[in-house]
Amino acid sequence: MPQDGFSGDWLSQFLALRDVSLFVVGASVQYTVNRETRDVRLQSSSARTRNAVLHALDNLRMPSHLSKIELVSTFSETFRVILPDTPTLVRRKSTDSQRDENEMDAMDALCVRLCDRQVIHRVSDREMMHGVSEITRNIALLDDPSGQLRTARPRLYVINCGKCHLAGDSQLRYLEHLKFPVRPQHQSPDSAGQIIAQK
Amino acid sequence: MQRFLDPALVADNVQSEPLTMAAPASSSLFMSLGNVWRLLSLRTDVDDIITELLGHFSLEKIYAESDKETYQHLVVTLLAQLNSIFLIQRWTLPSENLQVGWYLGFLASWEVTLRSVEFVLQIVSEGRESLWDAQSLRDKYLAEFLLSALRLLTLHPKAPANQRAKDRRERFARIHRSLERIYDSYPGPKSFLLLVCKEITDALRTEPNALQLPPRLRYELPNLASELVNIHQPLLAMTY
Repeated sequence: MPQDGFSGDWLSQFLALRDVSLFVVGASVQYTVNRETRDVRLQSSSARTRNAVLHALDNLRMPSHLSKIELVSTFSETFRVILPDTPTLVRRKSTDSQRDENEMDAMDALCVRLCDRQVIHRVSDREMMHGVSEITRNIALLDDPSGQLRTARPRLYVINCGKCHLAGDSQLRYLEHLKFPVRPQHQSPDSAGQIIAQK
Repeated sequence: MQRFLDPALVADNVQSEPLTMAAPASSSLFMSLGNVWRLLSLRTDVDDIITELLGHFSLEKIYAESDKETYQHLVVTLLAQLNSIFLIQRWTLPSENLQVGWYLGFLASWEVTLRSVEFVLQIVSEGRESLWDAQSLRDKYLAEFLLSALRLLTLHPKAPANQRAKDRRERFARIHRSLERIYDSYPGPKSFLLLVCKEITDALRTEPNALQLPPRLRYELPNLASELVNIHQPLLAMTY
């Protein structure tokens, strides 16, 4: 199972699978909070990921003092937050709903406290970061429209030709025979998305 | 889309009643999480929020300790709140192909995270008299908090500058010892998650850089500032 030099011990695998399930939950939360209306088939793709995670858990080899059933049921609990139809292996006790309530009360209390907090609540930071990431994502897309050549530093060139074009760095590198003059400068253009105008 | 994902159902005001009617418990939990998310995501003062929670708790504790149930409730509340904070922190961690500097401001510091773990373990350890019969407190809330906080510590892009691997190993060893003390002093079988927590601290005290993400997740995991929603790409394939 392990590839790419990943040692693949069970604890790392467990934590990676847990990360994946948390990100699936996070995606739903973000979708809702941002009032998204795009149809991204979140439910069905979440359900598919859930099934795949549960399947991977089935194949996970753990030390014998740990119970597979408990392992799976902790993940089911996580998924049930967004997919209530997730089957449960252990019968939910009446204390479980009490626990859910405690948890919700705690989170609601935290919300009240945060609202009360007399500090600058930088809502703008969130908007700003979202904006920045949108821009860098678009630059990465232009850098390599095929989406196959992954680079850590996407760059764009503006080519001053008759039909003035934007050309992605990766795209140009791919066409090896094309030689472009390198702009003589001391700083290398290594920040993501730096746009260099070439004359 | 199922009903609970309908954006129209998200309350405008986070203080308003968060969808209690006829919705399954899980979706109410979802709404609570969404409310915390809205207030906490990409804030630049997470360290302060955490220390404030710990401070409030310490002051409350002075009087609450005399009443067992009140104290249990207080500890559960602290654990659930910290857990939700560290959960959101996990979503905020930048993947390795991003400029870490931009994101550091949104992350709790390594030191505050570690100390809050130590603080909580100390509370649970010392509170045995009042907390021993609250099973879900340690089996669920403590375990989930530890998992989230330890995950942040393991993947944090900026451990304290003057800290060597040896120092970090010692800090994790301290946490491992505290957890072992809790194991010894609390009766009965421990939950799966709590058993896993001890496996984690055991691994970290030997190798503080253990338990990293598999390569593809390390580079490609989305981030709260971008879009977690983009899970079309098979996330799971990246775990191998």
